[in-house]
This record gives sequence, C-alpha cells and structure tokens, in this order.
Amino acid sequence: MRQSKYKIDKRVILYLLLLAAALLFPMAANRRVLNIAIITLMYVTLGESWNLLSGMSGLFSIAHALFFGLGVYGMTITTNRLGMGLFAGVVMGLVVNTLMALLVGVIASKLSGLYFTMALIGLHQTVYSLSIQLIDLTGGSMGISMPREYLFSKTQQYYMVLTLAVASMLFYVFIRRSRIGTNFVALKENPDLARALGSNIGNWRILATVFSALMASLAGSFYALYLMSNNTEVFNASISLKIIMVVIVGGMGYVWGPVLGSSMIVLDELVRGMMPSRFAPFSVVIYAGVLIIMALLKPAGIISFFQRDEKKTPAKKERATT
Amino acid sequence: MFFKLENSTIAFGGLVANKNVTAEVEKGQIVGLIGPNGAGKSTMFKSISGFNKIDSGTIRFKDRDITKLGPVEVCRAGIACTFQKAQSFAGMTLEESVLVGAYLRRKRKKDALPFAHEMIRFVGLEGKEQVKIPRLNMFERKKAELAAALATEPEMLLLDELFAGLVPTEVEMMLELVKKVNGELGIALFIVEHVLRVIMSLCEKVYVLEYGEIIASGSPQVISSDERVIKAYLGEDYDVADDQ
Repeated sequence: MRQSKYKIDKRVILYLLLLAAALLFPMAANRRVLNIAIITLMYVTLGESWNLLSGMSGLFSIAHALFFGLGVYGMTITTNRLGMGLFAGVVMGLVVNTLMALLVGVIASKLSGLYFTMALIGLHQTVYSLSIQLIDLTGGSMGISMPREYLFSKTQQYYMVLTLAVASMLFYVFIRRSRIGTNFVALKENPDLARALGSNIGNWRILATVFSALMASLAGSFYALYLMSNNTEVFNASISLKIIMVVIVGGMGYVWGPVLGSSMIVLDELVRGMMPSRFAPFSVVIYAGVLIIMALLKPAGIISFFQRDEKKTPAKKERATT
Repeated sequence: MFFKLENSTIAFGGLVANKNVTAEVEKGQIVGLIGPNGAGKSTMFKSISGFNKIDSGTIRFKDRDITKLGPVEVCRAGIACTFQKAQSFAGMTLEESVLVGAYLRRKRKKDALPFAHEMIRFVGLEGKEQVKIPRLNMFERKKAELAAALATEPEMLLLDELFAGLVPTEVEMMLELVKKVNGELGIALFIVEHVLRVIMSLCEKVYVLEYGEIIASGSPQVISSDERVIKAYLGEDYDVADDQ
C-alpha cells in the first residue's frame, strides 16, 4: 500500500509537469503551431466524449459529429439569429444535445449493436439534411457567421480549449471511478450479468449518451468560436471518423487514450499542410489505413506501449509457485 | 408463502420447455432441482429471474406477484441468480465486479465499497480485490460471481450449476461456502445441480424435472427411491445409501 502511494505521487508530478508545459505552450508556439494545438485539444475533448459512450459504456457511436455539429449550430444560431450572448449559445447547444441524446439514448436502451448504429446514422443524416435545407435558420450550405465581437485571439482560444480538454479528462476519470462508471462498464462488458445484478442498463445507456453528447456539444460550441461561423462540414462523416480514430489509436476505455491518439490529429494537420490542397480528401484514406494497421498490430492502442505487460508477469509468478 | 412458482408454462416455438411447473421455497430453505439435460431446469430458473417471460402461470415472492417483472426488478425484489455458464465482467477487477451488485442497494461508494469487501471476504477471496477477473481461475470466478450476487442482498438465490466444472476438493469447499450462505446470511437457496452429492447433502426438498414437467418432489431420500426418478435420471442401479 505504501509503495503504491509513492507511485501515485510520481504520477501527480508528471501530470503537473504536463499541465505546466501545456499552459506555457502558447509562449513558445507560432500561430500555425497554435492552430494545430487548438484542433488537437478539441479532438481530445471529442475523444473523451466518444470514449465515455463507446469505450466505457460499449455503445458504438459511428456518427458522433451529430452531437458536435449541434453544438456548433446551437452557438451560431443563438448568437447570430437570436442575438443572444455566448453563454446562451453554449446553453442552447447543451439543451438541443440533451434532447437529441435522450432520443438516441432511448433508442439505445431498446436496440443495441447494429440497430443502434443504424438509428444513429439515420438521425445524423436527418440533422445534416436539415442543416442544409433550413436556410433561414442555419444559413444552408453557406452557413452563418458569428458576430465579430466574439472573436478571440488564438492564445485565448487555446486556453479555452485546454480548459475544455482537461475538464473532459477529469470528468471522464470522475465518472469512471463513480457508481455511474461501474454501471457503464458493467453494461459494456456483460449486459445480462449487469441486469441480473439489478443494474438498469436501459437507463444507464441513456445517461451515457447524454453525458457524451454534452461533452461533444461543448467542443462544438468552442469550434463555432474558432471558425467564427458554421458550415455543414461540421456534420461530416470524416469528423466522426477522426473522433473514433483518436480513441481507438490511443486506447479505448482509458482516459489517456484520446490524448495519445490525438497525435494522429497533429500528424494529419502536418501532412495536410504539406500536401497540395487537391489531395486533401486523400487524408481519409490515411485514417482508414492507420486504423487498419493499429487494429492489426496494436488493437489495444498506443496506450498498450506504456502499460506493464499484464499477461507476462503474473503467468511467470504462477509458474514459480506451482 | 415465501416463494411460489405456480403452473408455469413456457414454450419456445413448438417446444414446450416448461409445462405446468409448480415449485415452492420456504424462507431460509435449501431446495434442489434436478433432471436430465434439456429437461428445462435453466429455463425454469430464467423465468424466475425474469429473463424469460412465462406464457402462463404465476410467480409470487413474499406476497407479491413478480410474474411480469424483468431481471432488474426481480433482483431488486430480492431474488439473485448465478448463471449456468460462469459470467463475468472481463475488464473489471474483482472489487469492481462485486461493486456492481453492491450498488443496487447502496448508492454511495463509501457505503458500497466496504460492503463489497465484506462479500469478497465472505467467499474467501480477500487479497484478490484488485485482480482482474480473467486472471482468476474457474473456482475463484465462480466465487466472484457468487460474491456479486450476494452483494445485492438477496433473500433467495438461484444457483444454476454452481458446482459444475469444479474438482472434488473444490466441490467440498464450495459446499461449505454455500452452507455458510444459507446458515449465516439466512438466504434461501434454489439449486440446479448435476453433482448429486451436493443435492443429497444440502437440500431439504428436491424437485425432479423431466421433459419440462415436475415428475416428483420431496426429500432427497424420497426422491432417490422414486421409481420414475430412478429411471429418468439416476440410472437403474443408484443406491441412495452410497451418498449419505
């Protein structure tokens, strides 16, 4: 017990050093690097959101851009069309996302696996179509922009998204260690056993969806501030794919998974910066390739490089005792 | 009446798995259920625990009709179960998997965690709290599943072949544990078992199921001398004296 306490202390020091580095980062970075950092941290937030739903609770969300996009549109529509402030915009995103998550969650509590995925894709396509069709509200494919008074400097944006990313990580850890997280993991690992032990998995599925959607919504609200506008691209499947990739490549079900996996976003931004713009769509092929390679070589994600090999050590001990 | 399953009938397509099955368990009693493979024992347990919906009949528990309840409500009402094929949460530590059960009646972690530890000690797995479930052996996993079920604080426990796959020394240890569950915690047990030693040494009353119907019930001695039971299940040359 004493030893493990010492280990935790070492970890805390490491976390504080990382946080200090993240806080000081804007001083050392130029505008382009800062932009990449902002997008990366946004994907950390989105990754934690997806991780909570899919990594912790086992509901494979294939259209997570739905929640993200609603956050973006909630922000832009509230500030531009309704003329209300930033805070109202964030709340609007959260409210709309709660309603959407309740709908998705209720579907998830009745259907699972493939049917859940199909229902989610259906909802995603519906919202995407509406975002194009309801021109008066959403600005259609042209989008609408945010009032200029809400333009923040890159450094300010960086600190906003850093706060968001750290908060989402803390939230993930808090949930994982609580009664809620135990029930989430139980419903992922073995729904029948969970039910036999009195865990109402339908309700937990709804709660997981709501939590996840709220996190994605905040990331969306931030992205609206970053872009200073909306456009239908935020519902793009490539965003959903990137979110999934960040978590799977990093390590599903671990709080540090999305952080490690977000290195893919850095890589992606760098590669796209170097490639001629007409090859940009090609990046999707790269994500798919990376996903396949990781699934084959390191299915547990980058995080498995950092873990002690659980399989080897105890087996040796067992052999020694027998 | 503590627990009564009455005239339960359940059919899967054309196959009638349970036909007018009636069984009773008294408070704190140990009752056995035996029968050849495919007789409908697990089906019967699953209807009690709420995983199967019975086509007709009633299930009453502590003066309450629980016929239509799902697994979650049945567990809340006070009937827990273990599965025929040992079930577990693969990604969890022993401690957390028992916590799942403990959280049923204790919403706060500071209440649930000590109780989970108590149940882990009760089944004799202390010191393994932080071990991941897949790293436990079969015997330990069965005890872990039992600990999680006990953590829901049931008044009746359905044990579906808890002893299957254990070596003789483990059967003895599990037998002691099950007696302790009944004796110290006062939990009524309803047991499906193929290991006859277990049934004969534990149960006050035994039901025999064949082709979905109860063909006999009574004390182990009565059962093992019943002609139909001997033909259906025990084999022609079984002598109850060997197992006493």
